[in-house]
Amino acid sequence: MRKVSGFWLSSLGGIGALVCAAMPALAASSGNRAEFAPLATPLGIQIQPLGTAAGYTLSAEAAAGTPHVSVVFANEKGMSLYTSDADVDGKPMCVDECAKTFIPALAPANTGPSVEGWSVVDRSDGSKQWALRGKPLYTYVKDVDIGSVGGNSPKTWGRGELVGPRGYLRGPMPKDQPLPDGWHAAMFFPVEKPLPPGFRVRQVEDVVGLVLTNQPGHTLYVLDGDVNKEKKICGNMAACVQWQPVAAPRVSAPYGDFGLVSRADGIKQWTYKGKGLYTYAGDLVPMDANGIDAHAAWSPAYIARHFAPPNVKVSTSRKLGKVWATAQGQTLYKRQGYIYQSGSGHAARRGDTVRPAVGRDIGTNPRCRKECDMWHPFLAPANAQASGYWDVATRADGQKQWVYQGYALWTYDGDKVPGDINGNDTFDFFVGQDNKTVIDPGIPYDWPTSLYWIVSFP
Amino acid sequence: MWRSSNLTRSVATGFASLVVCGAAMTASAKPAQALETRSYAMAWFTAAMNSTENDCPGGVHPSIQVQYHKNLLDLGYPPAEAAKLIEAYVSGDDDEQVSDIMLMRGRINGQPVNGYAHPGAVVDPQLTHVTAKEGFGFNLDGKDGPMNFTDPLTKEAGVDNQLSRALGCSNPFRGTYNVKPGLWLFRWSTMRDTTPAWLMTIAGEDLDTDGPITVIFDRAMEHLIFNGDGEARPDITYRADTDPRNHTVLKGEIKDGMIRITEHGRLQLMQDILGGGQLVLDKTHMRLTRTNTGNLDGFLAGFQPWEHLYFEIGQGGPASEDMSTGELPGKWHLMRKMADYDPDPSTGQNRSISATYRVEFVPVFVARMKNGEFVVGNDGAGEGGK
Repeated sequence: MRKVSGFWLSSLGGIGALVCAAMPALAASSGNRAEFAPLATPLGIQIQPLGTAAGYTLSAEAAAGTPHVSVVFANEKGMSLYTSDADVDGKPMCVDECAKTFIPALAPANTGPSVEGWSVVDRSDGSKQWALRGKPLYTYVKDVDIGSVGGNSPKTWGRGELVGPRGYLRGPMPKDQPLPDGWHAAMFFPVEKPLPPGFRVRQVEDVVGLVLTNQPGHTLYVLDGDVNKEKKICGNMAACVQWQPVAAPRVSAPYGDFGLVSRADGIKQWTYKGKGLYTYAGDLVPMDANGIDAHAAWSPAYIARHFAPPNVKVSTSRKLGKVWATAQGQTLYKRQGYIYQSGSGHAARRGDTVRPAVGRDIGTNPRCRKECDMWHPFLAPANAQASGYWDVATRADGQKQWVYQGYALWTYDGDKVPGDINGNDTFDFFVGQDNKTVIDPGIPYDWPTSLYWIVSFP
Repeated sequence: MWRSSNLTRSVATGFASLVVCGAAMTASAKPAQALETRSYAMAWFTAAMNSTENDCPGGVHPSIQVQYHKNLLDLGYPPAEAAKLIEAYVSGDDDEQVSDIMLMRGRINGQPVNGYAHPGAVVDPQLTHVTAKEGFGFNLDGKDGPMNFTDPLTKEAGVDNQLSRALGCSNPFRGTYNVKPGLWLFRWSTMRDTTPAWLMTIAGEDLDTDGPITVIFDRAMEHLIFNGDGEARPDITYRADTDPRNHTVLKGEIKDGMIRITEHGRLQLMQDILGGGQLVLDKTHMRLTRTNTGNLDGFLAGFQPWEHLYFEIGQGGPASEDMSTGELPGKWHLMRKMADYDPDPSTGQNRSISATYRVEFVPVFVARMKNGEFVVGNDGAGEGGK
């Protein structure tokens, strides 16, 4: 086991003292804080991006893509899951020969805490099969790699015979093979949630989950308290003006989890699960979530949160906003393959493109060329299970390592205090120096390439 | 001559949202021997080239089409076939064939390999290099030899600027004192909108007179801010990043109105990967003079790892080669031959090349971390960014 430096041990003690001091306040709080928000996926169920967002291509489209454009539920190995129209009333009908083409997605013995919409159904042979909203789930024998749907591999968009060495298409791409009639990929989006007009559900990265937003896309927050006492709760005028109640039109009526409260100031305010809804003035653009740590009484209006390992948290870095960190606050990094981005943007927050295929190519071998003894794998327990965007890789030494969005995670000894990101943007170039040695960066390349360390954003 | 009004620059003003304790700073009693500081942000950073007529034997490097034709012949293509391929490349009828051949023009054990990623496996196209006698820079190693220049401004002999000798016969890299080389101009202009700014603080007892100073380099947390004319805006407050990789402190002096570095140590500044990922200069030299606008203008030089430079210019691969840099493996071979510092213990190959950069700074304020808060006017001499 890696020896933990004295600094981090003392930090753990200090953080523990702070947590203990804060515990009474946390215990009094309830409802929609992240730790109480429902999970989006059970243990053993992943989320995988499809198409060019899988990251196989080296082209400019990959630089512009995001991993959340089109995502599918997948099994613990990352293989896409499917439902069948023939399965009614939760009973799996695909058996015998059918089950050789559409293979039942069997549930593990430990499925962790129950997750809304997910269940386990019994098969006729006594095995347990995953079901989503009552529909049994299967994988497809023609899917050969992660991100495949209907037997159509995302690799065709970036690699293989149809793609030239510089990522261009050599000819027209063949049409996607269709799925057999009655079969459908179990897509993560759109999220089914009854909403009154003016509301949306969006995935906000810094919140690590799905939250309510207003129509323009600004994150909404709930107040853990009486809306008519918000001035007392927020403490001072400067803090209070940051929180703006989400006003409802006069003719509004309660709808599902959404209710209404008449405030003393005459505003009719929307509530979600009984708690007043607000926007935060510090959120300047859609997808901002700067209100996360602004005040203990306000928390994001979660629909569902994504799984994160118990010893991981979202931490505020020195200059790049929210990043993944260990429970002690040590920043987590990934090893990334460089992609040429004319016009820069690389140094901007989230200017780096997430490409799970590249992360898988690099795997747990960072091919480090300098300061190698300062980088340490972020290990997972032997019984760790994949869920959501998190996966577990088996290292060459047999240990398990946490993987996020395809990239194995690491810590850096050069980070001394929480918030440090001193390993960010450290490059190792792979340039062949002679006519004898073929370079091996572990990733496809079509010009001088490099691997670099970069913080892992949620 | 430094004007006394510049002393006000060391007083905290800055943006209220970025600066803490500014009032406290001005209200507190100054230590008896507090240093005067002035800070700057780097507005321009381009290679210092002194291109002249006839400085390249046989002329500048040929166009990429001509070079590719020669490369095809070097690869063993029969002349007729090579001509046909180039004709299709130039006309656009089928430029992919030549592009694919050029991509894989390296040879290892007789097998084609990516030439941009394996420039050592590409037959050296023997590109010409600069043979002129005058070039900007400094005598970095105290020696004077046939490959050294004489600086046209200072008349210093033994000037080391092998980078300009290696790349100066390629059009995108040519330039003069007043005309920035096209490629560096393009890259700096492209990066500066999003990449954090480079900062410099000068600290001394009296910056209006000759005397010893401390020169502190840092990287900002913000990118450069511009005026409407595209030039860097003065008097902005930047926060110095506490990343230790970006902090360098060197001794210097002001002498005859010129700022110089006298402690020729290593300068290190992180950079956008378009700029090679990191500026590393060993035996750093610098000379700056003040312009009538209050900016600083001059030269920054040292020995720089040339692998970084190859990556910087080569990372666009065939697209760069076709549209801007010209023949890339050939430039790798040139830099390899011209490299003049830091021999590899096992191979003897020099790993760094002398380089001179033309730099321009605008006066700004720098807030450095002190006791957990950013403070403008923090006397950075010896304290660094902590």
